[in-house]
Amino acid sequence: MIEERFRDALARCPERAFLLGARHEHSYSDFYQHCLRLAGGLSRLEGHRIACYMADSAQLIAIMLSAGMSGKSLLLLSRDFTEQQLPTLLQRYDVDTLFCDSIPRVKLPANVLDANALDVIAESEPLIAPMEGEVLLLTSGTTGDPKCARYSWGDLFAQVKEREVHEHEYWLLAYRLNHFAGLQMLVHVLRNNSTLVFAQSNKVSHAIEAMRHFPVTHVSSTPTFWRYALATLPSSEHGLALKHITLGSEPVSASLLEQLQQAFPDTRIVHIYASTEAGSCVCVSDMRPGLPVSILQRDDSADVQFQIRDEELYIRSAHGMRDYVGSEERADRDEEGWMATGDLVRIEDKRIVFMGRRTETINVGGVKVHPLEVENVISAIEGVKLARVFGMDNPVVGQIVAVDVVTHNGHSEQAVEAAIREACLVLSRHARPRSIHFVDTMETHNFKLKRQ
Amino acid sequence: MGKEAEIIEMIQTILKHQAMPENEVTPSSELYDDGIGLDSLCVAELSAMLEKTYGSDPYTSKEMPRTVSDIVNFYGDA
Repeated sequence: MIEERFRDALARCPERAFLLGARHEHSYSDFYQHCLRLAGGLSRLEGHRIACYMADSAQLIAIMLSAGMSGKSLLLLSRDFTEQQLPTLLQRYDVDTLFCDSIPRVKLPANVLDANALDVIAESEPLIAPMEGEVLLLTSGTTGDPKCARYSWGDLFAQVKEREVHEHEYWLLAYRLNHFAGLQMLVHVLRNNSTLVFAQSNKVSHAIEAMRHFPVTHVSSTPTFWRYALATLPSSEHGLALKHITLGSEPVSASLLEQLQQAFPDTRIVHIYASTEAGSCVCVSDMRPGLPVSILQRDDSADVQFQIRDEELYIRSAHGMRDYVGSEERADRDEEGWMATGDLVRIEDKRIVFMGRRTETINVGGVKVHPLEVENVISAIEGVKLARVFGMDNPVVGQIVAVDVVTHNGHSEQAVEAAIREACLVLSRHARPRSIHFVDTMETHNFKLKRQ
Repeated sequence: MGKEAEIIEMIQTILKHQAMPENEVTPSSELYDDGIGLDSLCVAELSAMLEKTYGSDPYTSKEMPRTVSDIVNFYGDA
């Protein structure tokens, strides 16, 4: 697949930039040659599995793609893991060689190679293995140990639609590559011979700078990213010539869709539902939050099917992950291949509406409250930049609904608090926030609000 | 403002949040059904407010306060 897509790009646009950033520019043709030589080197390394523990960069992408071409199994490790966690992870996932951009100071049970010196292993004799390797991704694991999802490159490519018209698209990399959405971004760009643009860092301000500096036409990121971005950008004359915005990784609210449409009236705005386990499942372009109920009617011929059981969304995906590595469970799937997503939903006005994660449900005196329903009400209030609703332990009713709020500049906390209380009168009494706390900023991870 | 006045103000704020009539609240006022009329959700809110303001909460102790004075006494006379 990887080889085939490179050849396709070489036939159409060999000199087009594949990767573009402040510090580098690589054409499809150069990068393909680099990956071929690297694949030759990787195939001569002992062992089957390699891991990468490094920041997003052209080097990382070179190792990822050449690992696929050389038939090696590739584990992507987030830089959020500490060096001290590496020995356990490398052992657990049976890693033979680790690539790093700075050599860890701890003793590791694997061969360690410097990713800044890839030329050392690159071979003049390129090599393409008959079988492509696999990719292992760790789930975010908000509770307990992360799980390790195994994907084939073939399935990753199968999830991406090939554009009928090959316009030259410039996609900003706004997810990390060890995150499913980031990996999918890379695959999408390669499949459609597009250009992947790097920002200087994963700060929102750097992302906006990159959108301005390079001719970025397409951005895929989270609703939280856009809430920050919209708060930074001037309401008009922001100077961004975006043709397309994809929102993903978090449920999107009606108020955010409206704000984005106002700021980008000529931009196509879609939101997607995807997960590390099931992959990309559905793309919604009608500018309404939630998913259309029609997806529940999909039959066996569809790549991804949906069901609702006991308020939870279930998915059966033809090109999802193969299994969890190092786990006896067959990917938490039932005998028919259905997977519980952990997302609680209800049907409202012919729409599948998200209520929050099953694990985040707040129990207020025996009444279940879904944080997202409360959050959607609060986020729509003028003056609220970000809101995170959660369950706070309480000796009287077990848990109460609490909310942390970041306000927009120029709005008084007192006025915003009054507006929140007023707006939440539409909710049941149990669901109204009993604790409202104002904070300067909110912790995010991969531009997603940290929920625990 | 002394603790007693602060606590009475908290209770009045909660009554306002609930759009409940802001009856006169005095130290001897009974907190629940026959008195001010706080229900479990209001009490939960009061407990969270007290915890946030003073760092401890009388509702975590064995004996549940029955009157405004019981809450004031929990914190001592400061």
